[in-house]
Amino acid sequence: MFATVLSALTVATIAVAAFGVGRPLIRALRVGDGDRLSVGVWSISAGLIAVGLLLAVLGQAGLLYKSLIGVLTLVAGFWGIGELSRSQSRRQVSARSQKANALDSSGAMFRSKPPRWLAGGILTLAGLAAAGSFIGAAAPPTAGDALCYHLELPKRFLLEQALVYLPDSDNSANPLLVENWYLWALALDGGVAAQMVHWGLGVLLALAAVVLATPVLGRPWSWCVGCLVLLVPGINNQMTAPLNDVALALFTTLALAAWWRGAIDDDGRRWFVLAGWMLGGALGTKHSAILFAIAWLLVALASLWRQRSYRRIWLTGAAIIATVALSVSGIWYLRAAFYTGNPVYPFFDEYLGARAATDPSGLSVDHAPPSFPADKAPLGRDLRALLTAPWQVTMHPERFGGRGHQLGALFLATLPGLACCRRLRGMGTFLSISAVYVVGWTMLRQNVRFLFPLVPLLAMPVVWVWIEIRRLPRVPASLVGALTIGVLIIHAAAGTARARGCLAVCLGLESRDDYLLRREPSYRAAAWANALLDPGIRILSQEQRAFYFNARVARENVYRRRTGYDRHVASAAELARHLAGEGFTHLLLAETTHGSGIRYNPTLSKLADLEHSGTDANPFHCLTEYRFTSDDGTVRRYRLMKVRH
Amino acid sequence: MIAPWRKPSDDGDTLVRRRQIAIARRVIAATLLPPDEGRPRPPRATAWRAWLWAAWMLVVIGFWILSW
Repeated sequence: MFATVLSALTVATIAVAAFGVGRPLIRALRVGDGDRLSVGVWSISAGLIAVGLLLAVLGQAGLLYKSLIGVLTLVAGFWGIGELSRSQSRRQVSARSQKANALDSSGAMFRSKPPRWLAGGILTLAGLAAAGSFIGAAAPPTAGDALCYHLELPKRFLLEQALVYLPDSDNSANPLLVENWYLWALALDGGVAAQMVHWGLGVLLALAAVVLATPVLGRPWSWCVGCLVLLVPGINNQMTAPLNDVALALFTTLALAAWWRGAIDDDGRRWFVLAGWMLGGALGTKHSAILFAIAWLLVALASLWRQRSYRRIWLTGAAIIATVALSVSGIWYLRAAFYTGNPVYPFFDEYLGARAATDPSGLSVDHAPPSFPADKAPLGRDLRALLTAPWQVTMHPERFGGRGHQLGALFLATLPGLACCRRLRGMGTFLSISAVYVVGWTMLRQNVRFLFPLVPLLAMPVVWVWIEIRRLPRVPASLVGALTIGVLIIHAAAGTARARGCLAVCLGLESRDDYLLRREPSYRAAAWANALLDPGIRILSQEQRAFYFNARVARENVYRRRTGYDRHVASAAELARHLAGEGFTHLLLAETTHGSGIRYNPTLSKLADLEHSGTDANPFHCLTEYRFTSDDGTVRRYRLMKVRH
Repeated sequence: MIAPWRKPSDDGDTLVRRRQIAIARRVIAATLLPPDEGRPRPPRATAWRAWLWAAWMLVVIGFWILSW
């Protein structure tokens, strides 16, 4: 329990420090005054981007010392406390002006608030789902992608005290803004704190959705939008793991919210600076932000065609947004271009990068997989795929990256209800951006997680449909209402039920070690290696989940693709000599022995198991071996081998 | 007696009072006037569309539950 509280306090400290950094930026831009929610959301988000950039600069300079990060956090934290107390002294005036603003900005149509039972009910359900995901986030991380790179890379950066490029990790040339916040949490506490950072980003996303929806639906109904975002199963699920899709959705939402204030509400060009800052955050988080920016740009250009009076201010805004966004995110794309020759590595590497690498002997080796392989587009890439995508994504999310990331049934079920609603200013823009984004998503990579930036955009029309239900005849209105409530209850129940397996470790009734031994397949090997081997060893691993190893771990599949080592060795002894020459001291072999779950490429296992001549000693010595059974029944066999040379 | 001419004050207290008066006006107006006073009621949605949408919801949610 104490460990959980400590991790939660670490995340609270990070939030206050981010507020301390972001609040002066927001004040300098003179945005959000008079609305405490907006000030909080803008300040923390802007501050997180600024801190992420600072850590990137420190990393490039080789100054990623835990002590330095701790001191900077303390300074920013105390500054944040000062900013909070300053805000507190203005609270009375702000609260009153906020009420006045809410009445003014929401327009006559939205003077009515959501019924008390609806507001209270959806808030309760969202609270339950968020509490469930918090319990999940308080358990040690076990998500595959997190242990492969979202946490593994920041751990390595901290060990190396620099933002190093790792040739045997496909992801070390990615945009890594979010991973820098995980690095921040790892420096102050550990993996659980990093995981809680992503949970906090989920809450921030819900609040950002409120900020985005306020000018369109008015503040009272916008709270329903925020709650609905929290109740989306994929968002709620991902809040329990340190990935980056929720963070991407946060920044695309805020970028759009700032652009709306500058371009549609005509509140001043300073909003474009903020929109650029947030878009820079999105581009620094994940490549799919580029697709979102293109969709946004196309819709804005189409709107300009119809509203020529806005042409000048919108073009100025686009220039400001692009300049600021590229300045904020440029470091990641320059870094990728420097190390790989391709600023958007590994995408479009066929055209932009040095695709066919050569090993030291000059031999051409395996080509990297194509940027957009067929298995990443299970629907295909044609018109039929586009038309069936909403149904398929809703009903069969396991084909698109996993059922855990699903968007739920509410969007597909509710959005056609717009045919029964009156038109509302803004809905067309948000739906058009979503439609263009979905076209790009269908043509590129069909993973349901990549649709998260659309969740706040689609949640707004859903709430607008709820508002308009009162215009329906009584019986269909009651049926629609009952179905909607039922789905929301299922979403909340799924989020809460997910916490069951994590409650004991969250409350301290089970130790984090015991939990990991029970849930994380690679943990036993990592604990063994950490306890008995020198941290300076170097492991070549078929298992990519390397976060819990103190030693340096290289991914075998990437190493094989880079060097083609398997073409040059014909025996176990030759393999051992080759690996020793490359500096590897140990192997971690992983095989699936039973079940239909994960499959490992068997190249390394087969080579290591080749018969050696009877006179020589076995070039590999097995230090530990065990089997792990996953929840889906898949049995994996792990062997940690020492390379004799 | 003629009152001396005085510029409106911009100090914080006066601003707070002005906001309080504005809020009070809104509260009184919202209390005394029904919210839809003087505005036409929005037209009702056509029944066949409403039924079609309700049926669609039933189908989608039914299939979605079965797909779990």
